[in-house]
Amino acid sequence: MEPLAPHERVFVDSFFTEDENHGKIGCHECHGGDPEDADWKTAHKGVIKDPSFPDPSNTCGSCHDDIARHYKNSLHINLGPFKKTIDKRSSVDEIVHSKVDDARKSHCNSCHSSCGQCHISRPESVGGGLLDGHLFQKKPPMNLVCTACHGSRIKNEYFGKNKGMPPDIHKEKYFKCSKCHKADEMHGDGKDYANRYEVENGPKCLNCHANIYDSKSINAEPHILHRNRVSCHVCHSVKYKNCYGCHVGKDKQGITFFKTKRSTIDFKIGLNSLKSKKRPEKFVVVRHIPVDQGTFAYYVDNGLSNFDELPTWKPATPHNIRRKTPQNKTCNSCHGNTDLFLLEKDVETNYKNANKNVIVSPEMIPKKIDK
Amino acid sequence: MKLAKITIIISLVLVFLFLCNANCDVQCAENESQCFKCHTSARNLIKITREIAKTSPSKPAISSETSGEG
Repeated sequence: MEPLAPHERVFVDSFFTEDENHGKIGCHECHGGDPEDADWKTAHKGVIKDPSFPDPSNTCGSCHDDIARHYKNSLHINLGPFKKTIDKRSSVDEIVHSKVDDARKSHCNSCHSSCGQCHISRPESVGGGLLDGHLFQKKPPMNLVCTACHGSRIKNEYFGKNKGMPPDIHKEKYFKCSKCHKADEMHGDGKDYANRYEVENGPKCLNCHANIYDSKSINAEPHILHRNRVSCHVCHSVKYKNCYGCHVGKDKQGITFFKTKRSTIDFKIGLNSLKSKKRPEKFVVVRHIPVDQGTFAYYVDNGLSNFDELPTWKPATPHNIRRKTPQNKTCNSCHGNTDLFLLEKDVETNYKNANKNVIVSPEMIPKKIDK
Repeated sequence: MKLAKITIIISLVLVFLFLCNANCDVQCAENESQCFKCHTSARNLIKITREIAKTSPSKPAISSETSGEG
């Protein structure tokens, strides 16, 4: 994504005043500052760059209360699952935990968004700057907002930018993110979800592919046979990004940084660690997430002393869906194919215990089918 | 015929008022707010952002120590 020149970041299109709602509100009513002061230095005293973060109640919420009142539980604003999972891995010692929590806030949580950072400007975490001269975007532009943040995994998968991997079939059909990820999911519904898979308004393949399990549908047999046993992605996604060994810290100038040890393009089927009524499948696609025992070592020793509480191979929904994939070519492309499954040998020694509930033992692998 | 004339005159007056009003939105905002005046002028913004860059060089957004994929 091309960065904006400094003046472009704050340029307001005079057409904005023709927005019959937002264009009638004085700049200072949301941003503060002194609108009558001709000296920019003093006029900007007290100016709030993003008046919708962290609490949009008095700005966006004064008209869009039905949406803004859920802000505290919007995963895009609070990144709630980050706190929950890091807390679970963190030491229970109060001092150690508070250091981990501070590190989480300055690193992981810097990637939050807000009403304004989707509908008016690019998210701050990717450099910020007004999207289109402060004209409000009902549907945020995919490339400047959604994939600007969800870049290294989702964007590369969806657009087929991982070497040798095709783009998602939905991309080829010109689907934008908002086709599946509706506003209700993005804005939150007031519930404090443990992870994004629990979100009630999240995308479901069945929303569009409603007849997939009908006995008269195309490929009815394999769909009916595998229903609730394997996730859709197990058969329909291709290789995706896995990252390892993220360490965070601050450089000499006090700027935060992260370093990840390595990234691989791989495909692994593991056991579903988030089994629920909504996601009852035994086998799911699992992605290695960047967390490491030493992720916060710059701030505190042994901060994640309960590291093994959660797996590092996490259920995933890669955004590179294809109708035909190497593993669904024939029954035995998957059945009996040990390369596809996350076996003990695939897990690094220091991550083995954390992944004990995700690793597939050889006897669990579906046997080859004789036809 | 008289009715048609009246309708035409009223329509013209309405169109005139609409155009005046649309134009006034920009003018009013410009007159009332220094924010609007400055932030809609690329020339002004270039001048000021250059001034800011000279007096307080900004820190790089990404640390040179950052490596790998996030």
